[in-house]
Amino acid sequence: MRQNSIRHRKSFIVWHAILIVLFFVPFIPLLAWSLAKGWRFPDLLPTVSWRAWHYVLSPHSQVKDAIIHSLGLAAATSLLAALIAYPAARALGLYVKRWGKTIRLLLIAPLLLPGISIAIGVHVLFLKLGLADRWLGVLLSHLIQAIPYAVYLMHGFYAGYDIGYEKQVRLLGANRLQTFYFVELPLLRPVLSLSLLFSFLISWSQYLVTVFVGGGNLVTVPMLLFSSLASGDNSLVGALCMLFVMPALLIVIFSAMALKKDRYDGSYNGTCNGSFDGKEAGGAEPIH
Amino acid sequence: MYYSASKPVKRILLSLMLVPALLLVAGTFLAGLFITGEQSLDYFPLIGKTTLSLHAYSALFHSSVFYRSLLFSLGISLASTVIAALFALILAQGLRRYSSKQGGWLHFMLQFNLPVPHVVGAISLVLLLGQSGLISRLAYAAGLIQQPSQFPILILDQAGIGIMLEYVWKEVPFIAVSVLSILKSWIVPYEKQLQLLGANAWQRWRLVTLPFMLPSLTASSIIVFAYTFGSFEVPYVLGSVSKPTLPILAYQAYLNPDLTHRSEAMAINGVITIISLLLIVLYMRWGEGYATKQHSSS
Repeated sequence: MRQNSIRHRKSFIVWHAILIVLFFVPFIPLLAWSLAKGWRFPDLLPTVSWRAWHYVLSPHSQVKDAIIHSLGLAAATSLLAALIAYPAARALGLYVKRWGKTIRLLLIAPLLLPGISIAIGVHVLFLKLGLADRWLGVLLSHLIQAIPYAVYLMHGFYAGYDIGYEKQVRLLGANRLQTFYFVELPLLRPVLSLSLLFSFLISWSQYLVTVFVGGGNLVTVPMLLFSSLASGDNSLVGALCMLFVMPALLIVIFSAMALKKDRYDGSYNGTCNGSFDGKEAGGAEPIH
Repeated sequence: MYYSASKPVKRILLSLMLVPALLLVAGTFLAGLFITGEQSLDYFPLIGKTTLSLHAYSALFHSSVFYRSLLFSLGISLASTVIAALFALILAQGLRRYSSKQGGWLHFMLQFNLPVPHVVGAISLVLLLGQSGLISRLAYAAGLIQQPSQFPILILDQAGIGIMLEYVWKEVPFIAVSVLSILKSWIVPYEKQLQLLGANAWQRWRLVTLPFMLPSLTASSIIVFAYTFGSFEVPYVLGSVSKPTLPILAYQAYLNPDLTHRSEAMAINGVITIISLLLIVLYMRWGEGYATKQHSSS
């Protein structure tokens, strides 16, 4: 028994080590370069300088505008994607019977189609429609990538949703709005926040489609990253990369904390919440 | 409102719920695909081409550059998907015994790079594994090499090693998370049952664990293959200029200011799309379709 627990402990540590090496080590050179002035070949440590970070965080640089553009686009994409996907997912999960599978496939197809074909296809279409080189066009092109994901997540929720709760409350005299607010929304909340966060991330990390549809007029953070990569300024590349992953990291930490909180609050959270936990965990993966 | 509505009213309400999403998503990408197809058939009124012809495709299928890129892309995607799936299986098997309370850190780290953009992964690999990267410096400090050029070329190489490393690094957690969610749920009682009946570990794995996780493994692997096949950013950062993948080839032809290259770009795009459509069919049959069949029959 004792032997067993020691072996168990050992492999526990080994797994930690493997995961740390696999998933954290690639960030070390990025962080180091962002703090480097010059970093010639054989040196193991760079000479420290805050130049890249000063540039990235200065209120007069291009970076500030890019951050504002990226944040605005991502926020708008996130909200609109949820707003458009919600009725569609509800309809598909609860009411549509006959064409349900085909419609759902049509709605989530962009998740499985190659990025380059979508970018070129959307660009030629928007050139025809006069939406190219405009903010609205870029927003729509981001929505095309975000809505499928929101539909995918929320459909997973409605597939396991018991509409009986709503019927019960309606029977007791609640109106449509009250039913939504007191029954549907609390149940939907975990999936909804997941969908909002991931739509935000999808828009935040779009590059190709923004370049094509935006025509270079709308500079976002990934575009700055690619141009600094082309100019070979590794310090700036490192700082911009750290800036670029920031929302993603915040979201991972935030969702890890939220999950932990859920676990401890679980006892008085009501029984219906528990039944959706598995769905949520299962649907949380496919982001690229 | 909805519960009491008559049938035609229900129809209208339902279509109102579905139309915005369908119009934006399906409408846009289908229209985009249609124009792509049209232009790949050399229909391009802007420069006076109004007759349909297949010459872009025939030129493509006679060009060795195209075949080389196609095989290169398929090879990279296949190799990275298989390697990532293997590592993900090992990882999931290793991590499944830790509950989320006990192995909280393990699960956090597993999900750590899921939302990291591919570009960032690609750039960090350049800085890590390039000839003057961090590993190369460590090798110098250890006395293994005397100058950067002695370090093996892993980035911007002809074999696409850098590209594959990035895909594997990014997709292992993706596959592992989706397999792990199966391994930690309703599969456990079945395994216990089999153990009671006297099956050994290998038998348990072969008879219960593998068949039950296969649908989710296949589904996530197909998603990974489709994504890596059509991805532009990673080969753009990590690939050799002299050996482009198919998406890079399409990108270069599309951005060529000479509009006569347009049909070529669209034809390459058509090939990429058709291969991805095949993958979607496979996904419906083996991934999602298989899973729903299993559920309904049990």
